[in-house]
Amino acid sequence: MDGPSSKIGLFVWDQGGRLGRAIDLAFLLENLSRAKGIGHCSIVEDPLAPGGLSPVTEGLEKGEFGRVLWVGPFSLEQQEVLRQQLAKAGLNPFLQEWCDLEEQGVCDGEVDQEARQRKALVLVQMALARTRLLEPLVPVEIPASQSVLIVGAGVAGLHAAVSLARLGKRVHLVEKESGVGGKVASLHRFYPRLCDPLCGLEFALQALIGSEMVEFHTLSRVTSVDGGRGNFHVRLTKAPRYVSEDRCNGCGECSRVCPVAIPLTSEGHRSKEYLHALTVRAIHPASPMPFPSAYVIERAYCPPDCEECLKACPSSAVNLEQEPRELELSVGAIIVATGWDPYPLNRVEEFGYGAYPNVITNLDMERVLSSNNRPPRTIGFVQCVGSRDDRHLPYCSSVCCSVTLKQVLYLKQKAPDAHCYVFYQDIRSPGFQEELYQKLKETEGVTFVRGMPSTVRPHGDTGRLRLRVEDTLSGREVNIEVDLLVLAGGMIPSRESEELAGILGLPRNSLGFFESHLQCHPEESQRSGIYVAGCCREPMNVAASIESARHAAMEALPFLNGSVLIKPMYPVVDKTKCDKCKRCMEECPFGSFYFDEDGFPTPHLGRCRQCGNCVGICPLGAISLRHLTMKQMAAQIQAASASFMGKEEPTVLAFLCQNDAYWAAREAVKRGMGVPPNVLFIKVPCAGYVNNALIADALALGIDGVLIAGCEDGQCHYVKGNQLVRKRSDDLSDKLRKMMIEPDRVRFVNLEIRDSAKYAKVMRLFVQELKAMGLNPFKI
Amino acid sequence: MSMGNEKDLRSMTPKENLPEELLPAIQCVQCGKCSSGCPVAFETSHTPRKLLRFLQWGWLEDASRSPFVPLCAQCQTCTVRCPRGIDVSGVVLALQRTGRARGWIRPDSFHKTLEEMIERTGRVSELRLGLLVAMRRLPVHPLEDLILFFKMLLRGKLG
Repeated sequence: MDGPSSKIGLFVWDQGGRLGRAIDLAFLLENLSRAKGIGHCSIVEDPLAPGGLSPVTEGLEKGEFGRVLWVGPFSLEQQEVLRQQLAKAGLNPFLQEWCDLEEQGVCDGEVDQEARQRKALVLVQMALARTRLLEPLVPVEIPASQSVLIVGAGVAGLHAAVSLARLGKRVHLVEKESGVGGKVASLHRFYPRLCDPLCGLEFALQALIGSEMVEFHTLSRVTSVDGGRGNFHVRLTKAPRYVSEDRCNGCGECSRVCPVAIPLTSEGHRSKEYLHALTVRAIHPASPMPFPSAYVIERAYCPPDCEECLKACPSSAVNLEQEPRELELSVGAIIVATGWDPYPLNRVEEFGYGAYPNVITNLDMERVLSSNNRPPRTIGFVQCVGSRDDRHLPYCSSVCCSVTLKQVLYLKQKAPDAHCYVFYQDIRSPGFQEELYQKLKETEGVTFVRGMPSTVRPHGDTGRLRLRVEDTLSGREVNIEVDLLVLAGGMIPSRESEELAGILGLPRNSLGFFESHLQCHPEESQRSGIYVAGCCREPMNVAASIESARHAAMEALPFLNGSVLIKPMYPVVDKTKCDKCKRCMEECPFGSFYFDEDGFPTPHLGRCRQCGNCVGICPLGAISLRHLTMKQMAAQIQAASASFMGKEEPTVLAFLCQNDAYWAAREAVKRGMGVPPNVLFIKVPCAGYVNNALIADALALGIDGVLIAGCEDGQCHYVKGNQLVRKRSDDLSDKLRKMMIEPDRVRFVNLEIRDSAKYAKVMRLFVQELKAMGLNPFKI
Repeated sequence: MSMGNEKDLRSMTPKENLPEELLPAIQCVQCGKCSSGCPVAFETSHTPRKLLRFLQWGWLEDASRSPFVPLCAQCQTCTVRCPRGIDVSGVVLALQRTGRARGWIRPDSFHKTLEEMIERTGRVSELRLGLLVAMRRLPVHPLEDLILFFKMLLRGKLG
């Protein structure tokens, strides 16, 4: 046998006579056996039964045919089984095609037998047209790095690092501060178990310190990233530490001689005695956690020509001339855990943050609690400061209620006679937090007031603050005086998130958090191989951050195995047609296009998710998915244009998104929901795949109406394919008008997976309207 | 809703202000089930829920003087429905007692007569009670009760 035959073996699976009862199979086969390219044409008994495949394998061996078209209601699982079985017989899995007549309504008994017969023939002809053009394909294996980059060494970053280091992956942990730990390191306690966060962080850190797999890059920032999953090339800039990490042993001699003290109170805040004035020297241990153990110098604070630390250092680790360094890394995946910043509360003017010294944030309160000073007697807590407020943050930061409950509990333990007032709109105490909430509600000296103060004024010279609140539950206005007012402010994505979004090209939502498919793939960003964990994705507590970090590590793992297997259905750009207009580059939902050495846009295989939106966008039709080429599509559409319903009935061609709309349509036909028989449909990977040229083709060939069904807005599996296709409809209308075709012959519809009834209804209406509109002028 | 009634809350703590039997009010989560099930709450904007909230603030006098307190029919619906297991009707009863003891509630003719009757005979005769109350309210009392009297008689509610 010399090379595989290009003839087609066509096999009809009757499923015990189900198809045979609906249409005349003998007539069908007789017509098909004369079709172009057919090498074999027969009915098979159950091909999935033992030995049932022998007619196919024998035909393949004899060389009667080299590609197979199955006609019958094969489920996805059955298709996969056949693919694997025939692969053993030497058939490339991409040289098989399936044609399900039942799901297209051929078995619908209410339709005229003749019409059904003709429809079946058209459908098989369509599949045949595609089968003739199939090409053998093999997956592409691209070599990949085994290291991973984690940006942010807070609690999320550290835990992701622990997971991956344990699995033997090389971890590069990048942190902008001089030490690891992030925001959590500055907390007094964290819930639900109310232990010291340093202990938890230390625990994670211990697992990393001994490991050879982990490299810490403190005082570093990511400056550029290119490449795709499996092979990212990352550049870092490392700011000078002025202390050698190898030599410094953390003895602290330098700190003792340093003449400069830097206050540690939060920005723009006048401290009071209970906010004990902490200071550090200009040369101090790494912070927030003293790891790495080397000290760091804040050069901006150094007096000119001061070299005290240099002289004092016994191991000559101080180097005041250190320069910033550039670093290049090659990694297989990136985990972004850039965390959060507190919302600037001076913007919420009514509570007097910044104006009165005894109005502080809940982060400041952590410091009050961890100090040894006695806390004040009466303390007010205001919840949702700036959160759930359209003028500030329209969302709930999800942790502040629990934080306040925790802080009240600690206050009461520290000073049992202290009186706390909590002003709230709703207390959100999910899960086991409810227990603490109920306990505190019944504690003497803790009053929960449902109502927000509208003004905060100092009362006389006492320094106390007077609040006026309506207790909405009793309907009365109350006046309360407090010594200290704690504002529970919300979380916003950190400044670094914004910076990194630009460098990585990561889309962010309107609130500034990184976009991800929040429910099904919460850690997956919209760039392949980049995962987002912790508060940079959504406000969350420590426990949830750790969970999300571990999950992100798990998701990143497949790209850290030394090679990545890419399915061969990726898009290719036809360079003879492409005019470099860059539409594909702009519209690709995953930003996967780059310019190759000839200056043509090329998809990066590592980034591409093979949705085909680039195919749909290309104004010249120059891009094709390899298993769903423009040629194959065009051939299929041409075959579909044969009239099967009689001269007076319109024909509708539907392009259905295979994720949702296809299943809805299938169900509608199966359950007999009254889908008109005039409809033929073609599955596409995403509604955005459908190029305007294909629609125009269909209409020019005499198909009366084209319907494109995508997912509901915001539910597209490929971000916005369903919107992209609609965006192009203006172009399409112009094009159709020039062809003297009514633009109304093209419809877009959003279908969810269960919208079967809607699909049937839309189709019925569409066919009716087409009848009213009259037949396509191009109809032969 | 009275908004003018300002309270200084510094000294207001329920445990200092409330007698033992009213302390269960602290457990209230203000869900409002007691009030939505109450057959007499439609008469006043002071529902049992609000009463419990007053007690949480420690406003004992205001709670006792609430128009709901004399209205309560002691049907126990609130007690049965309460998700926190508070004996709400017990709390109202205790409020009545406290209010009476401290002179915040002055019993009206009906309650006075009822109590006297029970004290004297240990049982209640509706007929006697009705007559005595009507007598006490004379001469202002209109004929309404007389109509009610016949209605109740017809249904066998008087004995």
